Amino acid sequence: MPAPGYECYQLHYFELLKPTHDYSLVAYGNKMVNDLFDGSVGFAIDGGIKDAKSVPRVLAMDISFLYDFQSSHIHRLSSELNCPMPAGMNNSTFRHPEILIHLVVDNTHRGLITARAIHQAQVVAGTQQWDIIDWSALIASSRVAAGLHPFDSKKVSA
Amino acid sequence: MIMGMNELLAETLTLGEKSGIGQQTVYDLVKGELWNAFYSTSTRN
Repeated sequence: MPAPGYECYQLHYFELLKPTHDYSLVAYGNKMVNDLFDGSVGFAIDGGIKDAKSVPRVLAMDISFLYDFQSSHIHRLSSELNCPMPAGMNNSTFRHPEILIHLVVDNTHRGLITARAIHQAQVVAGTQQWDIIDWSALIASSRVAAGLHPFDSKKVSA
Repeated sequence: MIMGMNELLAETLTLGEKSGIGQQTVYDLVKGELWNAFYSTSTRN
């Protein structure tokens, strides 16, 4: 049986970007900003991890426009703010979108695994807020790396 | 695609939070840009 929310993959990718769509970037952003990581009403993180492992590279899109910045500038900001950011993109990766996609998917997979590990540690300790977490909880990875609380944006640190 | 964009959004929201402008501000910017991209053709003119 597919994970909750799996039907989102039946949609055209432009649908996924439509601001009003339930599975759009806007919807997932709203979950991240408001700490709404209940996987029972979203797309469970296990499904996200499974998909990250099986992204067909040949079908991967060129999303190099997302990295349209100077990596040295990002490195500087990242260092100043104590907030790790992916900045390994350069002119070479722009010319080879398959490499770029590999880097992005690998980073996403790492974020998902980290979020699941943090959640499972909370389950063991009995302090978890949700039994299943949504895959938008991958933000927990970058939050912890930046010294913030993984699942509560109101708290300053873990 | 949505997977990669989610990851980048997460990183960007965190950077926004650390920078002091707040993740809500970053989210509003992204939301506005997406909205304009889909429902408007004249915002950049």
